[in-house]
Amino acid sequence: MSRHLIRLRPRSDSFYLSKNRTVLATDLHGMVGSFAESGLFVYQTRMLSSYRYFINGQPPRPLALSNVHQNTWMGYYIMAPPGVDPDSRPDFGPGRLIAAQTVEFRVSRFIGDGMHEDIDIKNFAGIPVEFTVEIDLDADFADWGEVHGDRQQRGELEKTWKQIRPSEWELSFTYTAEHQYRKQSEFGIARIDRRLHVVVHNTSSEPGYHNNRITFQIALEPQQPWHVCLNFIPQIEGKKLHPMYGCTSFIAVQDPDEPAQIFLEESASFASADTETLAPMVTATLAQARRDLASLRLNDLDHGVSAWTLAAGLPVYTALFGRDTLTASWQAAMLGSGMMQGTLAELAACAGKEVNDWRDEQPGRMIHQMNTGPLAALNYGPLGRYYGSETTSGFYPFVVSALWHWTGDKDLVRPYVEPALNALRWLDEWSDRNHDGFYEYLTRSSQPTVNQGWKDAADSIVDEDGKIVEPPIATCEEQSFVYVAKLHFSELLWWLGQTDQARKLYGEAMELKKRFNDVFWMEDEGFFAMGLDSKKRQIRSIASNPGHCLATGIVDESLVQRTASRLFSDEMFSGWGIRTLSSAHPAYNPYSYHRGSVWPVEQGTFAIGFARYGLHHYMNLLCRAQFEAAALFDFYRLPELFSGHPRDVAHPFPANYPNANSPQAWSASTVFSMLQAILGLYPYAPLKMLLIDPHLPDWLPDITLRDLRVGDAKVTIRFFRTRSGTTDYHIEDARGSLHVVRQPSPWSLTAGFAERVRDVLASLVH
Amino acid sequence: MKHSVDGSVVVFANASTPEARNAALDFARRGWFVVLAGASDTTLNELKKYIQMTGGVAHVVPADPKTREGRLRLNYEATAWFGRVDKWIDDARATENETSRNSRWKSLLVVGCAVVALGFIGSRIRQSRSNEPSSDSASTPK
Repeated sequence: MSRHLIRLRPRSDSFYLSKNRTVLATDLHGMVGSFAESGLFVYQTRMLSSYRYFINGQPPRPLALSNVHQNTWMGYYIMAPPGVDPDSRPDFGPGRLIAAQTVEFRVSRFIGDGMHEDIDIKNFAGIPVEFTVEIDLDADFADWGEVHGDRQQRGELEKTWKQIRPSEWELSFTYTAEHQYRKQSEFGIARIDRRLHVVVHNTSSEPGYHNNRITFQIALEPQQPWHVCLNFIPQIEGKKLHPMYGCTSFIAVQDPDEPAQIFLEESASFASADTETLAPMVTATLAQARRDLASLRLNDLDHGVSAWTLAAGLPVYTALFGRDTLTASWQAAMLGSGMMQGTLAELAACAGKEVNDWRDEQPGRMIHQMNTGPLAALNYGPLGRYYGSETTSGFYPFVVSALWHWTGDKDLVRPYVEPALNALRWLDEWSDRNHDGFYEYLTRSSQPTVNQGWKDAADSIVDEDGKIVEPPIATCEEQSFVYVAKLHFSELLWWLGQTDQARKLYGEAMELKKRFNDVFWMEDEGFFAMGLDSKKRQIRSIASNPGHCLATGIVDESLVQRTASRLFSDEMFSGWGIRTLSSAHPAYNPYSYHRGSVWPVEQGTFAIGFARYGLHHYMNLLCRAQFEAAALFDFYRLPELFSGHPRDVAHPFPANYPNANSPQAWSASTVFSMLQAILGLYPYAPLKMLLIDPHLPDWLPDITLRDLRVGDAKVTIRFFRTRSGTTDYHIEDARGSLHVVRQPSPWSLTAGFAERVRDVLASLVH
Repeated sequence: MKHSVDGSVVVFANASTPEARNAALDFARRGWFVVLAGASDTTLNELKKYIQMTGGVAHVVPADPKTREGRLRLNYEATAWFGRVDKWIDDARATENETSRNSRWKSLLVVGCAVVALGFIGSRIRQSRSNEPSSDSASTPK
């Protein structure tokens, strides 16, 4: 168990509430306007740029403020009766007068599309009080990309205040803007009409409005309460987003009929009887990750209650990102197949249809991101529908195949076969542009994402001298994504009776594997090159990219051990995780996005790779580091990334990355990948089979996996370490037809024939 | 090729000696995570690299194990990185001697056990032979 007081929180200067496309970012006093990224953002548009309370012209004193759920929040504020010094009378106790004669000001917020806010005031002062409450509010309709200044889009903003019913008043902000644009082959006039309606109702006093402030004159007898409700109703291009919740909805947000709650009720869950090891931290991390995935759901993109997709991260990436959602859905597949289903359906609908250079769009190419803010909607940039990623098209067929392995349902996967084949076709025709058998990226857009591989920051691909490499670049991990896509998809096609196509893809995958190992391996380094540059020279930087190659299986068996051990050299392994770039590299910077930081999402994939080859000591080492890292962060929540400082006596914890997203979808999903690796789970629903190869470490001696779904079956299995240090299991509950077979990975370098036979025989008695 | 998997952790507090080098390589080959400290960083880093090239994992801690502070640091980093310390070796030569002493004792024990076992089996054979009824006695008249 934890014996320290370390508590890290990315963006520690703010509170975030969110649901679907709505995010409220406040300062630690619960107010909006004191820092650049604060505001009520809806569809990445800042609909409130200022929101502050004043009581008799002074802000109330914050006392205890906290999120209750991801989409709810409450704050206690207090004030002394007007005209009295709140800090007088030390004889009343350390809280002084304000604690003895208190007027309580309590704010509760509930976000569900729109936002509902309750303000409750109660007079505990023991004397009658009179005061004025003012709510200062304003809207600027800035894009997320504009909140630090450099405003590009400017429209017309109108404010109106009116009484709309006998006891309801409304303050409306109406913003209209248009942009005439010409971007390579695309041109036209784009328009937006976005509004915010603030409805004041259910109020104990009649409000007024002047100087951007809604005001209330309040007089309270001792113990008398006062209340007002504010509904914030955003309107996006004509569509009103009404608040889903009303007053005091802390319980109502857990409505069992709500899609997120249905997911939490039905998806696999975890428990451990052990309390002396890291097990409680592991289960707490897994539980929070489940909740975070549910809270990132983009309800407007639902394809049914159990087919959904999610935002990439909070607060910045509240939009659809192709590779993020695909990664999150396969890494967290043990929770259920709903995320894969919804993501595959949504991405199929958004797949490239034509050649549009500005958007880096070509037929069959999978979408990279679909932002919804004013800059995207007005076509100042291409990010409203942008295809500049190589990764997504490789991941798509792989995830279709994963859906097949988890469900074994031909009808379910069939709609995604054609989009997957189109994506593979895109890779062959557009990514391998010089037909050398490797897949490289090079943008055609005038406003591009320059690096379109796994690491997409503009400075992420550097040569061994630290210089930024210019595209076209064929990064090693992208070769491995194409390899695994073709290999796994060929198996699915075989099941679907498309044997010729299956054989072709299988052959191509095998050829790619051979070519890759010949060209990318650096014998003197005992590692794979980060990529090939425009002249097909190796980019000899030591980076995390080859970790993905281990996971996908493209690495020749003879090179696995050396690749794995290099990933655990102290230049790569920080003690908290594997760095994106070696600390011995001249471009290393532990704070950078991709040149030395640690990305949790990578660690989950790497753990799968180590399990694949039976390198359980590496797998357990990495997973322990990550679960211990999760325990450093608030709510056991791994952020988007953190710094790559070494875990030594001088660095008892790593640093936050500036403005890291948290929660981040694939940082939540990664912990399920780690657990899958530790338990050696490999579902094969087409044969009603679940292969397991559990290797519980001493820091996780017991864990129960409840309601794991494979095909139509549902199973609960308890895994536990025996006295000899081996792992045994017990099937606690099984519904439907499923064969649970213990068997080491087919690619294990460590499992012998005897172990395989023993495991199969042992499976018969469970 | 079948790889050894262990995941145990050995700390060499003075890894600059040839004996420590040999022992560290041996542990790494058997799948142990190796933590190295000692006088010469250059020697340790070369050893680390060699272990790495042969598929092992080694971590160098820049600490002086002769001091209490250095030993604390060594223990902290070994535990932080690898989760535990299974074996702590201050003097690899002593360990080597101990190992060879142990193996001598083990050999003696095995030989001793073998002698005892053979003796036991021999005595059982002799006993069973002496209990067999002889043809002479069978033909003895009443």
